[in-house]
Amino acid sequence: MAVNLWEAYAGVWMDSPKELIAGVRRGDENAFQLIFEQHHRFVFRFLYGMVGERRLAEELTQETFMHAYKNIATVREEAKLLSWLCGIARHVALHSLRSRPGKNQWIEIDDREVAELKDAQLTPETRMLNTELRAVIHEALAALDDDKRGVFILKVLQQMSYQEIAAATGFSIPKLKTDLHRAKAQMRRLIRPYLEVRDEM
Amino acid sequence: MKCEACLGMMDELIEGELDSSMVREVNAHIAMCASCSQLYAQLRYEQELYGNYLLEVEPTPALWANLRSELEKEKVNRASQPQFRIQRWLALGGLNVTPQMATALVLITIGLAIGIMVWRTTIEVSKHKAQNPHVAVQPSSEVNPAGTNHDGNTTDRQGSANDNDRKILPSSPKSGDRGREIRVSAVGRAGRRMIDRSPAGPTVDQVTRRAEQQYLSAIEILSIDIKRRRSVISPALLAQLERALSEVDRNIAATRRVAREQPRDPVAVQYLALAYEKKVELLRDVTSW
Repeated sequence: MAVNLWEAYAGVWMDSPKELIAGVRRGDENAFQLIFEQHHRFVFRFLYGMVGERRLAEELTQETFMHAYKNIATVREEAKLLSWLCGIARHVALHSLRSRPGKNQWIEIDDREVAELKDAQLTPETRMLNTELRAVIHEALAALDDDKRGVFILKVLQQMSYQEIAAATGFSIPKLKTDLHRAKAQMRRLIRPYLEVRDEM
Repeated sequence: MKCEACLGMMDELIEGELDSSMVREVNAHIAMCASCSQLYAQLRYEQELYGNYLLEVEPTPALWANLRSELEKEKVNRASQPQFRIQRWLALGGLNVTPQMATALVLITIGLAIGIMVWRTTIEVSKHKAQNPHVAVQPSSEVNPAGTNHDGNTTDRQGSANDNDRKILPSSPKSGDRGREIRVSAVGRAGRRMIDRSPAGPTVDQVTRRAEQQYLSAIEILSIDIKRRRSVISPALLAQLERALSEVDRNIAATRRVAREQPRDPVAVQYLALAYEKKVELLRDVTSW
């Protein structure tokens, strides 16, 4: 099914998101599925970084794409589709975080199983270190305020350009740079011990 | 390049924000300087750690299936909503009418309505002159007790009545009521019937009201869209929107009052249309966020 879909839309896929958006506007569900296939991992990871829980991140990813589907007619610049999706995801995440009773919930790590599966080939010491390090990064991210966490995830963890982040968040580039500088400093203070361990190894 | 300059650009180098000539310069310095090289390696390692943190997280493959079932529900929901039924009706062979397009259509309708209104006003006056050579028609300031208004506003009712009332002045010495004004609202029911009958189409006031209705429909469509998206609009933006809307609504009320008082003045009606247009623009800007 997926292969046929990709084959059917190979030309569109090679062109630009413009055709896909036009397809969705015409009511073509396959075009929307392709947009989802292209971007859902990015959006999911961003949301996971923002809220810190896999299940909630998945719910919010679904909510983000539902919003996108309903409002696809409002996309002004098709080339900035990913920024547009991230803008929606950011609003959805902020709304979810604000509606939750306590912030402490954020630091719960619920993806250990996956992390351990991925670490299966590593030595026990390295695996333990990685698991611990993930928890530290997780907590350090939770300690950042929403704006700093957003820019840190998009820039450092997902390598978006400042222009793209500015389009997604509506912030100016100087503000993004200031937030990122402070976020990095805060994160470094927390993970420094692990960087030193690596130097010793 | 000095170490200080290199350190200042190291983050940007890792972030991929440096242009190619600077990349070459910084890399050349790092290759020669042991301390910068060590720091650069540390920053890269730090970047690697962060990068792995998210790469290890994968969404469940069932995500699309879940989303798809939600999309199906949304389609059913859309099909039952009146604005989407209208949208589908307007679609006619694949033309997808977005809220922006609907607004544009309304604006075109308004333009046409104003044009027709001005044209009809001219025709109406000349017809009256032709059919009643002894009677001069001019607006009256008297209130028609039978005047009604769509929103029940007192000021509007007065303005609406003024539009339909005509003060008929006998201009011929053969008239039975020589030298006396006959007020249609009080005495000349036959005269009123004549005025109502002679222009076969709608009156100026009716055309203006129809145009208003068109704007109100566009505003309703956009307001529904904003209501749906309230949860994703920041509170600060919502507060700004509320302030701007109340300002625009005040302008609409003021221009509507003037348009009712001077229904034959196309400029007054155009100002009213502009005030509505402002509201449509404001709502459209928010919906296109």
